[in-house]
Amino acid sequence: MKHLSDQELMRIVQAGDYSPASEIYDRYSARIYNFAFRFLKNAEAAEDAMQEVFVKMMKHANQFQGDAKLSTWLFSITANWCRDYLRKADNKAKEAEDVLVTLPAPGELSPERNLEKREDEQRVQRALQALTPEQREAILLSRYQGLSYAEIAQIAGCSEGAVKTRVFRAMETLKKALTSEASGGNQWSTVMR
Amino acid sequence: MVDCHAMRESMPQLLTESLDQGRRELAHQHIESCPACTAEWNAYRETWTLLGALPEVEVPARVRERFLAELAPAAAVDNVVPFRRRVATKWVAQAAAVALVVGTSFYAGHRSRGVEITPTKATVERMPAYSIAENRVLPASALSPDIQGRPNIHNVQFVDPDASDNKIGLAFDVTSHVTVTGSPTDRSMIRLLAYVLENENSDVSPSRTRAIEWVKQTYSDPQNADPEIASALAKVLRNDSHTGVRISAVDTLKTLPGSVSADTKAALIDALKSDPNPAVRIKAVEALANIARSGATMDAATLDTLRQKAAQDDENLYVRLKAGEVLSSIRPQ
Amino acid sequence: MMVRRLTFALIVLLAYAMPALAEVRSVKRTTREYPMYLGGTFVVENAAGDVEVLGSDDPKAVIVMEKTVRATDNDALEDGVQQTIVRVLGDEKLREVQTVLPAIHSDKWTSAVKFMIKVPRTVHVKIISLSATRIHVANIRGNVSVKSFDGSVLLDGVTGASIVDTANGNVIFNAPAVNLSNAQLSSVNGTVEVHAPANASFQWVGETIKGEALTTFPARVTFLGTRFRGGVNAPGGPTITTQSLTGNVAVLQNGVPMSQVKRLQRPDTFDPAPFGPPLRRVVQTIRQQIVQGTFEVSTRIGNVAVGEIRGNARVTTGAGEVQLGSVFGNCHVTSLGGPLNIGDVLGAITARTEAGDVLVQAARNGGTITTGGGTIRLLYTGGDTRLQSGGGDIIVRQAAGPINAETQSGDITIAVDGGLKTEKVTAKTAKGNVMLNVAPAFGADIDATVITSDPDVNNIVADIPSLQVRREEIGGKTKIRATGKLNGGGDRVELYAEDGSIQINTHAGAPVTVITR
Repeated sequence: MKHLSDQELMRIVQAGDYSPASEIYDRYSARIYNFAFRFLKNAEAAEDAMQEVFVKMMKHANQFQGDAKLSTWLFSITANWCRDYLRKADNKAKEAEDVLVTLPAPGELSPERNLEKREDEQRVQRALQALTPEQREAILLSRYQGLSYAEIAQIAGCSEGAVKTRVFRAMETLKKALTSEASGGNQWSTVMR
Repeated sequence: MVDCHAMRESMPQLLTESLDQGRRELAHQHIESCPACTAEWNAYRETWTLLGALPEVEVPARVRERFLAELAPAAAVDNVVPFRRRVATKWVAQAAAVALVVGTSFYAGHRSRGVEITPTKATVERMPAYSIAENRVLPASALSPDIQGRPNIHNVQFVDPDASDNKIGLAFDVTSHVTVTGSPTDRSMIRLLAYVLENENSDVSPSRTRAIEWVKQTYSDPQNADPEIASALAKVLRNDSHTGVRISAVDTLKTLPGSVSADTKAALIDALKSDPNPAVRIKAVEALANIARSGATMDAATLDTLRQKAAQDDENLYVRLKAGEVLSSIRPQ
Repeated sequence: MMVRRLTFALIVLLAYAMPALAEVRSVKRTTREYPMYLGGTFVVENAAGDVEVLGSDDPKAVIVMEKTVRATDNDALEDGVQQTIVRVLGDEKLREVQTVLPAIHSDKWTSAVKFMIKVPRTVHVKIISLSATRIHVANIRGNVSVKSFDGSVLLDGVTGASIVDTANGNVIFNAPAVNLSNAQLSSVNGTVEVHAPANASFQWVGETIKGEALTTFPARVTFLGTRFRGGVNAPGGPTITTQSLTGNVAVLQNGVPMSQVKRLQRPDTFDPAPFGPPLRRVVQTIRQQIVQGTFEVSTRIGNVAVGEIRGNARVTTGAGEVQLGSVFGNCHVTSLGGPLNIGDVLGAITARTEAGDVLVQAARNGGTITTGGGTIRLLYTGGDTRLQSGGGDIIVRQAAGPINAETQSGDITIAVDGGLKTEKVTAKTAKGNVMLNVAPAFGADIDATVITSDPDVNNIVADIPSLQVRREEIGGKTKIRATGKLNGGGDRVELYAEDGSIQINTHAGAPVTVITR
C-alpha cells in the first residue's frame, strides 16, 4: 500500500474497504498526535482526539473530496475536535495538569545543557498555553507543521488575512514570553548570527 | 516608505519563506536599513528558533491498536485466520469459514494422531506429512496486511513452490494448514513475516533461527529491501531470550540493504551496549560499521556508546577494535 | 612535528575539496566581551570549527568568532548564515558559548565557527567539539576538559588538571616546566603525545591496544595486561595517563630527536608479531596465498588470511579474523576474539575463539571447535568431533563421525551422513531446540530429554513409534523423556533440550540449510 497516494488510499476506503487504515494511520499519526498534544497539552485528550479523528476519517470517508489534501482534511477534523474539547468548561481545569513529555536528552549534552534544554521546553510549553486557542492553532500549524496560510485558513475556517493576524499576534506574545524570560534575572542570552 | 508595522506582520512569513521573491527582497532591504526592524527581526528569529526546543512526542502504540480494533471488532475471534477479507475476494472468507469448521478437528483431520504410549497426553507426534490437497493456499495479495488479535501460529515453514517466479510462500498451522504465497514485497506477506518473527509465543518449527536465515536469503536482495522486516528483526534482537535467535537476527540485520530506521539503529546500539553474548555485540558493531560506511550520520548517543565500548577495559578486544573502526569511518551529525 | 604536517595536509585537502561544493562564501567576524569571575567556568560547545582558548591576566572573556558559511548559491548561503547561530549564555560564574545548527539542514551549505577566546587564566575551561581541525588551550591554571570527535587537541602550559577525550583526534600535551598536574589523555583512533622538559617528573600510566608505547625518557615501566605504569625521573609527582585504542602513545623529552625513541616492549605470550620500526603502524592483516609446509603465526592484534597451507597450521591472535583455506595437516587456531573461517582441514582441527562465529567447511579427521559466544557451522566432519558454544546455534550439515555438541543457548541441528547405519551423537542445549536428521535405516539407542516450563509448546517430535515416553513434573517444570531403539538399536544418541523441543527426523534427504555468509 505504501506506493499508493493518499487520494488512492481514500478511494479504496470510500469503496467500503478499510484495509488502507493502518497505512493512512502510519502516514499521519505522528503529525496529528503532536498537533493535538501541543494544542491541548494533555496526552489523554490527545489520544482521544486521535481515535475520533481517524475513526471519523474512515467512517465519513465520503466527505473527503478527492482533489483536496488529506493532511488538510485531517488537521481540520483534529482542530475542530480540539476546539470543542476546550470549549467544554470542565476540560479547561485539566488542561495544565498534564506532565510535560520530553524525549531523553542525548548523552553528549552536559547536565547543565540537559537542564537548560528541559527548561527551554517548559518555557515554550508555557508560552504556547498562554495564547488564545485560535492563535495557538495557527502557530502550531505554521511553525510545526509547515502549512501555508491558505491551508491554515481552510482548517480554521477563516480568511487568510485572519490567519496572518493570528500568527502575528501569537508571535508577539511568544516573543515577549520567551525573550523576556530569557533575559530575566542574572541569566541572559545573546544570539549572534 | 515601508510601514514598519506591516513589515512586522509579514515577518512570520519571512521566517517560513512563504513571501514571494519581490516582497521578500523588499522586506530584507527594509530590515537592513531600519534599526528598529533589525532588532525586531532578530527577536522574531530567536523566538522562532526557541519554539524548535519542543520535542516531537512519540505516539503511544496503544493508540494504533485502539483505532484498528474499533474498525474491526468482529474479527478478533481466537484461533481463526484473522485476516479481514477484501471486498472483492469473497472466496477467502469462505476458506476461512471452512478453516473455522475444521479447526477443532485439526489434529484428527490434518495430522496423523500422536502416538500415545503412556496413558498421559500424546507427547510424540508424527511428523506432519501434508498433501497439497490438504493445504489451503491463499495469495498474499488477497489478504489484508493487518493481523488482528494474536493468533497462535505453529509449524511455520517456508516454501518456494516455483523458484523461477520470484514469489515466496509461508506455510503454517492456525486452525488448518495454510500456505500464503506472494511476492516478497507484498505488504501482507511482509506483515505476516514480521508477525512470525516478532511473536515470541509462536513456535517456529523446526527453528526460528532457520526462519530468520530464510528471511536473510530473501530480503538481502536490494529489490526486496523493506524497513518493516528490519524493524521486526530489531524487535527480535531486543526481546528474544534465545541467544542463537538473537545472533541470527543481528546477523541478518547486518546484511539487509537500504536505509535503516532510527529504531533499528537504537536496537543495534542497545545490543552492543548490553547484550550478554559477545557474538551479538560483535555483529551489532559490525552492522553499525556497515551503516557508518553507507554514509549515514550517527547521533551523539551512538557516538558515546561507541566511544565507551572502545575504551571499556573488560570488553572483548575484538569488539573494542571494531567500535574504534566504526568511529574512524563515521561522519558526526 | 609529524602531527603538524598531518594537520597541514588536512587543511590542504579541505581547501582542495571545498571548491567543488562552495561557489559562494560568507565570512563574518564578531568580537564580544563579557565579565568573568576569576574562579568561574567557561564552556565552549561547537558543532564545527576550531577552538582556541588562551589564558590572560584580564578579568574578562573576549570572544572573537569567525563564522564561515559556504554554499552552492546565494539563497543557500543566506539560509546557512541564518541557521548557524552562536549563543552566549550564563553569567560571570558560568559562561557558555555554543553554536546551534539545525539537526537536519540542506546539504547546499556548510558552516563552521572558529573561536578565538581569551579568558582569565584562572578559570576552568570545558570544550565540547563535534568537528574541528584543531583545538588549542594554552596558559590555563584552572581545570581543562576537552571532548572532541576529530582534529588535534593541543594543550600548552596547562597547570590545572586536564582531561582530554577524543574519538579520532590526536592529542598533544606540552607539559609546563613547573606546576604540572594530573592529566588524563585518551583517544580511540589517534595518537597521544606528551612533550615534557628533561627535568619533569611524573607517573606515567599508559595503554595502547593496537599502537605502540614510545618514549625518549629513560623510563622503566611495568605492564599489567595491556596497561603499563612507570616513573619519569624522580618517583612520585602527578600522574599522566595516555591511552589509545589503535594509535601510539608517547612521552617525549623536549629537545631529544625522534631517532632516539624507544619502544616499550610488552612481555606477552603473543609477541613475535612482525612489529615494524617505531612509529609505524602494526601490520593489519597477515595475508598469504600459499604456504609450503608448516604455517605458524602469532599476533597480538591482526587478521590472518591464508589461501592454502601445505602442512600444519598454528595460528594465534589476540583479536582479529582468521581465514584459512585448505590445511593439509593439523590445524590449530586460537583467537581471543573474532570470527574463524576455516576451509578443508585434512588433519585434526582445534579451533577456539573467545567470541565470534566459527565456520568450518570440512574437518576430515574431526577435532574440537569452541566459541565463547557465536554460531558454529560445520559442513562436514569425518571424525570424532566436539563442538561447544557459550551461546549460539550449532549446525553440522554432514556428520560422518561421532558428534558431541553443546551450547548454553541456541539450537543444535545435526544431520548424520546418509550412508551411516549408526553413529554416536550427543547434543545438549541449555536453552533451545535440538534437531537430528538421520537416514531411514539409521539404527540407534535413543535417549531424548526435554525440560520445559511450557509443555504445550515444547515437545519431542519424532516419527519413531517404538519410543517410550515419560512425563514428570520436577520443580515446576515438565520433564519429557523418550527412550527406545531405532531400527533395532545401535550407538547411543543422547539429546537434551531445555526450554525447547527435540525433533528427530528419519526422512530420507531431509534438508539442513547452512547459509555460510
